[in-house]
Amino acid sequence: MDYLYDHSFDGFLTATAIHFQEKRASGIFPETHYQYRLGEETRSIETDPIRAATFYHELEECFSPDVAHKCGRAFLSDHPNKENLLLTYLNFGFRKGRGFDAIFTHPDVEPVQTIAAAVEWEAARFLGLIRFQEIKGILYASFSPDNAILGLLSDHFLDRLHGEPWIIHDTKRNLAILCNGVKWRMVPFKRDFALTLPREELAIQQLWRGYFTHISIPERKNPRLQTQYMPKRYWKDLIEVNSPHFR
Amino acid sequence: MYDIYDRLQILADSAKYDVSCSSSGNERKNNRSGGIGNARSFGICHAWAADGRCISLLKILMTNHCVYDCAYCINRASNDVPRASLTPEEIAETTMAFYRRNYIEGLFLSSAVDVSPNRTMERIVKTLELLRHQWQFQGYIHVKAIPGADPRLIQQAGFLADRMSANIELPSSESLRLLAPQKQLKTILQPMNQIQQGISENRYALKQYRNAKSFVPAGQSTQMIIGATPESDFQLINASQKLYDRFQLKRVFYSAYIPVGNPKKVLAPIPRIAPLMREHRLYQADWLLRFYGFRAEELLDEIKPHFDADFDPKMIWAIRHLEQFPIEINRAPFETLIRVPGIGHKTASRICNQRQLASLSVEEVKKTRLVWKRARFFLTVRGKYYGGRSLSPEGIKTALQPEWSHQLRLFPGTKGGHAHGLSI
Repeated sequence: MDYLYDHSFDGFLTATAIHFQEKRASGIFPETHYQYRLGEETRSIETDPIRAATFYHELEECFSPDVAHKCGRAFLSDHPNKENLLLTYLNFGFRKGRGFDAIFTHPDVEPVQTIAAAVEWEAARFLGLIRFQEIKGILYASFSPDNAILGLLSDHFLDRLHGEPWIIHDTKRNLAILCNGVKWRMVPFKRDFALTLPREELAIQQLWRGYFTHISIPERKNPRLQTQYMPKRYWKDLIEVNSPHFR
Repeated sequence: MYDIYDRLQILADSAKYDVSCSSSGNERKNNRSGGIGNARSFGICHAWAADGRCISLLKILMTNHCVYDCAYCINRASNDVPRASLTPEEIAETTMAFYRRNYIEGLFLSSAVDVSPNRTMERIVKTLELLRHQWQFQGYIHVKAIPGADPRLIQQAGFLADRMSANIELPSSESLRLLAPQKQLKTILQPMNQIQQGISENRYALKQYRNAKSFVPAGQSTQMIIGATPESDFQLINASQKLYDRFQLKRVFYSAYIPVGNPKKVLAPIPRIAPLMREHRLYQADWLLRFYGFRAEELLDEIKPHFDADFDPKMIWAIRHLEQFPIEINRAPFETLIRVPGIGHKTASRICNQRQLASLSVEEVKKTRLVWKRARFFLTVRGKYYGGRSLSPEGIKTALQPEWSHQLRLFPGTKGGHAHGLSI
């Protein structure tokens, strides 16, 4: 039987808890993207935040806080089959017991390690690659990451820009974090108008572009190395390279 | 008089040959200080310039008007470049504007010496005070200790900055006498010594007093120019080792010499390998010193004083020490594992974690993400050797040959054919 859940991590944890505690699932899928399979029954899982929290705590107790944490990270991946990779990973875990995570090369373990690491990597990269633009006293940044890392950026910027209102907008998922300088909240967000930037903001962007161009040593030009760290798919939101001059 | 836009570009051009960029080594929470900014111990890179080098800090000179005439430097008095200065206020404002927009992680402030070392250091300290006190800036600051400046000014800067550096530039007194006759190694090492003492005294103070202010919490670094003078790689890496041992430096940076302006005095040694490749090899060796437990005299010696274009320093070391190999991957201690070419820290700890549960088969070893085609010559898996017939330097080099032509493509300007024939 396939379990269908509502895209939330709590929903996924509820489904996984039911899988281990009541009745085994053959797979866990997000309900909106589910393709019905011949001869496979489905069950819609109702998200139960308390059960989810309890199960997460059990993962920490049974294995380690690191394993539970890794599940959370892997869940943010854009891998189309992440739910079932996680399910296989945990199945293997409950079979092997504590310490299973160290068997890195096992086919049930390695994929989860890999996608969790990719999520961590991208989030760390975007701590640096977020670019704010100041509009009417609010710092606004748009970006479109591969994985759903928006939530992983919030505490860093809350601390860094303490007291300042800011918005970080994931244009791929139509989500944003709104922060008033003290607290933040994640909300559905869409922007279908062009930004009109004040003259001061444009001047600072121009200053930054000039600096960016001049700090590079022409004799050492190495575009391949540059795009290795700063992939082109991120460029449209990067002030220093998104002007027509660079495209 | 140029406007701020032009001056910033001129002073970025003047600062860019300083290679240090890291913003790591200190963790500081904002803690609702009323100010802006924080520092992360792992360091954050914000952008990558067209040369592939990361931009983490706003790297800028206060002024490029210089009384010195060091032959290797773009800002030398006799060089015909546009000159400009920024005021402490302008630097502080630009830093804040860039920082709030998340363009940068902080400021890397250096300066040419326009009147005297003291005057320059005073202006640097003033800029840091503006940033830290008036703007309540909690982000990262790396500042240059100007050799010859009053120790009290250096002390003041140290309590405001996260990291300080004094550049050695040339690793021997003779080279310094030739290319920078107005400077002495002694005056360069003096601030370095002072900072190191300051840091160790501060370590004690921080333990004793809750409100003690930290002094250069992210440590100090330095830079050496390579290829402008005839020092061998062995001399360079030995100098680095001494600096790490004696001054507990966090980093030594290497900068491949690029002729700037119209250099007359620079000694042009016959390049053994292309400067960028040489720089790359030095960085690899530097990593081996800092994280892999190697000593300089293990990597090179008087007879073979240079690194190789075709093989990295660890591979060269391993090939010269075949008597220590092969090692059994399921039993060798961590310290031995990381000495195997193709195995790094991450892979080694992965192997150590996994073999506690069960010994690794050769298929599993390959999946630990070690570089199998290089590591296989130096290890056995469950007692079996996979490196071919015989363990000989020539055999390994021949087997690895196709690899370097690929490696070299990382360095534009280094043609495979050019480096060919320069094996050890």
